[in-house]
Amino acid sequence: MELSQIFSLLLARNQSGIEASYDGIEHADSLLQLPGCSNCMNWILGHLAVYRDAMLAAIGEKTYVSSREEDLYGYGSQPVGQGSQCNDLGVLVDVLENGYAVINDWLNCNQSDFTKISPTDLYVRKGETIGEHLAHLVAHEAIHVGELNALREVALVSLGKGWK
Amino acid sequence: MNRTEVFAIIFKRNQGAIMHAVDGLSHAEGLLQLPGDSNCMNWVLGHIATYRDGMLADIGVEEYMSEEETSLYGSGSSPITPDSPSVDFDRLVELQKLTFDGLYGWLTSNPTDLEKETRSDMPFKKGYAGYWESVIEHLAQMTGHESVHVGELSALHELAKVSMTGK
Repeated sequence: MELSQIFSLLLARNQSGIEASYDGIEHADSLLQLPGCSNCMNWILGHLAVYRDAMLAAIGEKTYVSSREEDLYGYGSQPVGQGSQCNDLGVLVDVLENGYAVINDWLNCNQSDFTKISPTDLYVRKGETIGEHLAHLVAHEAIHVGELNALREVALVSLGKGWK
Repeated sequence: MNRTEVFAIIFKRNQGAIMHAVDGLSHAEGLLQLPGDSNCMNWVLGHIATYRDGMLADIGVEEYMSEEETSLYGSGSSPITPDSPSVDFDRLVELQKLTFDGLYGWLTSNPTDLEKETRSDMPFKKGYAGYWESVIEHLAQMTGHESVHVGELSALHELAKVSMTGK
C-alpha cells in the first residue's frame, strides 16, 4: 500500500462520511444547533470546503472558495445560525464534491510528489512538504466529519425521523 | 515523508483532541446523551481504545484491554447508559494514554515490517485485529475511523459543560 493509496483511502472515508451526513437534509436543517458552543452543520461543511481548497491549492489545482467564504467559514469565524450570512447547503455540497474528485484524481495519477515543498501563500499551511500538509488536513477534516454525526441526528429528530 | 509519519501525525492530532474532550469531566458526564441515535462519550472512548488495542495486537506491541472490556465497545455493541455495564471513565482515559503511547512509540521507531500479515491467533475479537491482510492496511483503515469518532467527542464535551453549568 503506497502513500498515495493511504491518502486516497482516508479522503474517501471522509467524503463518504460527509455525503452520509447531509443525505435527505435541507438547508434549514443544516442550521440547527446542539447544546453548548459547537457549530452547526452549515458552518462545518463550509469550513471543510475552505480547508479542502487549501489541499487543492497545495497541489496546484483550481480552487473553489472565495475570500468572502473564507471569512465566513475559516478558523475563528463567527458561528453560522438562523439569520446570519451563509452559503446554501447545496452550494457547499457541490464545492466539496468537486474538490474531492480533483484531489482523488491527483492522488491516483501516479505522479503525486509528496516530498515537494508546499506553496508558502496557502490559506493554511501545515508542515513544509505537500505530504505533511495533506496528512494534517486530512486528519483535521476527519475530526470535523465526526462532528457531523450528531448534527445529522439532531436534524433527523427535527424532521421526525430520529429516536429510533 | 514516509507512510508511518502520516499515521503518527494523525494519531497525535487525535490524541490532542481526545485529551481536550475529557478534561475536567467525570464518569457521570461521560454517560450523557445527545438528541437522536448517537453514542455517549463513555462508549466513544471505549470504542477508540478497543480499536487501538486491536492495532497494537497486529503490530505486536503490548495490549491493554481485557475481553470483558472490549466486548462492551466493539462494532454494533449496545449503547452504554447509566444502567448498563461500562468501564470507569478514569480507566478509559488511562487507556487513551497507554494505547497512544504504544502506537506513537512504534510509529516513530522507524518500523520496517509494515507489509507483514496481521495476526491469525487472536484469542477473542478485539477491534479489527487479524481482519485486514497487512499491518499497513489495518493502520490506514483505522486511523481514519478513529479520527471520525474523535470528532464525535466535541459535541459531547460541550454537552457535559452545559450539564455542569446547570448544576
